[in-house]
Amino acid sequence: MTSAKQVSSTQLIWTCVALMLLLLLTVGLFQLPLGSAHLIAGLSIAFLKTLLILAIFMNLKGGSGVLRLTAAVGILWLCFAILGIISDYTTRGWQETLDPGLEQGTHYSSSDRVEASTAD
Amino acid sequence: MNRTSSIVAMQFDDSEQQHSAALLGMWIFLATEVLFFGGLFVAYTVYRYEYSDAFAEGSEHLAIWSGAVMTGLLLMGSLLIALSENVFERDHMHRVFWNLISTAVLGILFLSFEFYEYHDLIKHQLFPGAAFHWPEKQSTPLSGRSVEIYFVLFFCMTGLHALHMIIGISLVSGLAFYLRYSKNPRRLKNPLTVIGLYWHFVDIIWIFLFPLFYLI
Repeated sequence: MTSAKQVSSTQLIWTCVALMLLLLLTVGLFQLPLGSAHLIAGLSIAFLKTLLILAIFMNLKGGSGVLRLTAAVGILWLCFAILGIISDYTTRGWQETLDPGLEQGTHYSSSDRVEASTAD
Repeated sequence: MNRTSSIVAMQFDDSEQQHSAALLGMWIFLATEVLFFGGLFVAYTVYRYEYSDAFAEGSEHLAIWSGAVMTGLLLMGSLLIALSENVFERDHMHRVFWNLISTAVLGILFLSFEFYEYHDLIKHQLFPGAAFHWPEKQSTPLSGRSVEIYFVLFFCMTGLHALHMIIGISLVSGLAFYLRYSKNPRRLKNPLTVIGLYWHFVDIIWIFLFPLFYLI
């Protein structure tokens, strides 16, 4: 494993300019009426910024394979955790009838509201 | 100044091998840090899915411009610390010192904005707990509670990030003064690289916190 090649100062400055432009784009897009697409747009730009920082500022571009693998593993475990939890919550209530003849199962989520009157 | 004057620990063949080991160790640490923050990101995913409207209501109490300025400050800090490594290679230790000090100052400015935001939220009774006040809480109890969850996550996640910032600022400023008064600053190459990686990591965490809390 050898040390990574140094990134030039010009490259670092242009990366920072690109990051600032992406920041402006994030804020600019938020002013548009995109609804739920705001989340996708915001996170996509965040991923792009992260890639730039990882590749240039943290010098993974010129780094060894072991370093890239270590970085990828950290991100991969987090992705597994988030994808696992999303797949759980989004599929609750699907095909909950266990046996033929039984009534379709009812899904209760934590978002189900309790009316104030029933609490009395 | 002698460029090969860095001290090599006895278990390494040369300074390059020592540098590679330091890099790998730091990247492994950062991977565990991702998982440290990961639990909170997973919690955020669940509650955002369950209470998306409440999250949108809660985020209206945060100033987008403030979040954007804070992101800009961190990005500038990241640039300066990355440039420090370049000027370090050219033995311009005076510039490395001032780059590191500027990075620390940008970090302190970031925290000032963040703590002002906390102060503002606490003043408006939006800090989770007994003092939390939300107008709709009285009529629909769970609706008010779900906005409170947004603020629980906001304070926990940005608070944990702020703790990392405080550690980062201490490390960066400590390194700057150590480097300035060291008789052999060349041996501080590994600490500079490793602390730089830590600062960039903290920057990346904020890059995700900004859209998740401010841009809903």
